[in-house]
Amino acid sequence: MNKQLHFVLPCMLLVTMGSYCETDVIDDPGFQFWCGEELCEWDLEEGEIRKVATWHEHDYAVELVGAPVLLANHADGGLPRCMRVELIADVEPRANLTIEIDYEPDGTSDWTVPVAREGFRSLAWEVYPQGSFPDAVFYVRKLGEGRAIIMQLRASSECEND
Amino acid sequence: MQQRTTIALLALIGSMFPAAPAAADDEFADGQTWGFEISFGAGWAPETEYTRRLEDFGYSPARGGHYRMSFAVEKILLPYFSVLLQTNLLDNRIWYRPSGIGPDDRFTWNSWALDAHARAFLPAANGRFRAYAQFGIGPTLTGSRLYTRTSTEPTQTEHREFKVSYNLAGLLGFEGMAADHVGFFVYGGYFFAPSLENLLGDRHQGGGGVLMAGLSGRFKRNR
Repeated sequence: MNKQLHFVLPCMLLVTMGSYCETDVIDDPGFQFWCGEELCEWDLEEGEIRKVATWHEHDYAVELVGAPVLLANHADGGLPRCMRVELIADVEPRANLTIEIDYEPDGTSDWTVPVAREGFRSLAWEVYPQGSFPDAVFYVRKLGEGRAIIMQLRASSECEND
Repeated sequence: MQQRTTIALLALIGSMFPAAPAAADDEFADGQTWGFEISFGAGWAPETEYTRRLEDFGYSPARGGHYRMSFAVEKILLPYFSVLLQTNLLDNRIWYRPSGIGPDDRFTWNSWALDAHARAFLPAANGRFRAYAQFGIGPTLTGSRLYTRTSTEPTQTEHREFKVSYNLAGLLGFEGMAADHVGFFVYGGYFFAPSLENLLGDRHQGGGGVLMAGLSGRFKRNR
């Protein structure tokens, strides 16, 4: 029995019991949890951020103000064999924004993708970490002065091509 | 064969709607001037920039939400003309988004129209049937609810909003009296009902096409 089946069967059991199944590896993927002016579940390692409303007054996003800005989230539960990374963001090209994953926190990103998509459009990638990497870190890095508003950065085991 | 059927059908319809239904016994429902109507059916609100924006933000619509209902009170003022106070359940939708942190985020809304309608009708078959066209205008009342987590507490928070806008309605219908005071009817038409608006300026149109069927009650003759 493969790893995916090990994961899916308990999920089906939980769903039938009226619960939900947690497939995500990032805490607060929707940037909804704010402790004052700071995100509760994300670490601001550099720069400035602020809470902004998106389509609804109570559906929040994070705006990365100025440059450079670096946000980090530790995937404490490890990574699935196949991982779907989904981003909903409004990013000007000159913001020079990248999403990065450092599998082993050695300061060198093992997966990097540039993002330049204006107007709150969703993007998705499938990543194959080739290991569980219990200490992996997700980064949102902004190096340019352009507008960058991140509404959701999800990473889950819900791969479509797995 | 098909041609004969068509001719017979046209003859039947023609007999129900004479060219000049001016006789006194052509008064609809034997001259009863008050009526109430209750109906249920289906409706199809259009996809709009508003709903497309919800999709951009990761939401997906739940199945269903096409049921409609309506209640009306009618007062016949002239032999072929009446006014109504009519309320219609318009758009009612549920959208979900995986939150990644427990239960899905959920956004729901219901729109009700409360309209004054003018109805022109044509009685037939000694007033047992009528066909009608009506036009309505009035406010649209839309309540929306967003369920999402906005803190590290494991429970979702409910955020309610209420919006008042307007609507225009155009309907065509057919009604028949099954007994002295009870009738049945069907109608269809279109509602134009701008309703929800998001912070990005996208507006939803919560009306759309409807197809309804229901029962009516008639009472209180003038004479």
